Amino acid sequence: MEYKPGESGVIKAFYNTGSHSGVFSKRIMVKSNSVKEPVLYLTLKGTVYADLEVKNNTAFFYDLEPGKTKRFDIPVINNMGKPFKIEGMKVVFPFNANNYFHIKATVKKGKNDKEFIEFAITPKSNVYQFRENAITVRLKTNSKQVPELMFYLRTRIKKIIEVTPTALFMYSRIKGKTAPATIELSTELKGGIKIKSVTCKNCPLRFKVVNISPKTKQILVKPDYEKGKKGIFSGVIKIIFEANGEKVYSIPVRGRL
Amino acid sequence: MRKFFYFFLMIFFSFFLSYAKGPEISFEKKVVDVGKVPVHTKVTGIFKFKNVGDKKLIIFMVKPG
Repeated sequence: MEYKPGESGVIKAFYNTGSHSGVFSKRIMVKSNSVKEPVLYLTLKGTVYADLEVKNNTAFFYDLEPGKTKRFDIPVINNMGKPFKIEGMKVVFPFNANNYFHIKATVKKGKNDKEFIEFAITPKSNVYQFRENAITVRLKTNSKQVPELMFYLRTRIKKIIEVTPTALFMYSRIKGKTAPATIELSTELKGGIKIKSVTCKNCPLRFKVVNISPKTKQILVKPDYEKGKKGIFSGVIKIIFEANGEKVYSIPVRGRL
Repeated sequence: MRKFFYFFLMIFFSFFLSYAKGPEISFEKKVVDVGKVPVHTKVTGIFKFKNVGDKKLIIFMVKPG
């Protein structure tokens, strides 16, 4: 293109704003036979906004207890001009999360009419399998531009009980007699555990409960030579304890007197 | 000292020459701010320029980047 002295022209620049919101700045290079500036750069800049913007898409539930509800708020920037509504929720992953959790998402208004999504999770009682997990949730919105929002809910359920070992073997000997063993029980619940009774049918064993702390207990297992006869024995130790309700834990035992 | 003086004089003279002769491009705005734009839209930025020199201005290329 040629321009006479004193003539003016126009350079048009087009930019397609993508799906991402934020600041953009694009450079355009112009080469001409101008003496002072043979190569110069023009910039086109601005900020892109979406109808609904969510700054963080992860909610953390790290101290869940079975049967107890926890809540987490995620702020939403609403540029629609109408109130934001959730029209449906779907758990994408894991597919069976609904069997273990009650998940709810509601829109609430906070200070200065700022809207936020409140997630509420209640684990059903006796959830052992889902101790740590990330649940992916898809929300349907009333916005045409942003019809869906994805969220990750990171959950961690407190251990109701952990027992070590899971099976007892009492074959080792000290001075010709069967060596005693220990079973340790621990919990992450605030109330701690209370051991009601430790029983074992047909085992020549004696039990003694030792309090280490309200959250951890030890059971000393000693052989009882008066009770049983010499030889190989096997059975199941039943521990009845109280932690978030009365529960029974059983450990298989094998050994030799 | 005199040598340096001549040298500077030369430079000034050459600048003066270049300023007076040849095409010159000048933009009203080199940076265009379009402000807030919704997602998935086409934005146009208009850059007006004028040839303020005294010879024909030829634009060889306009390229993004």
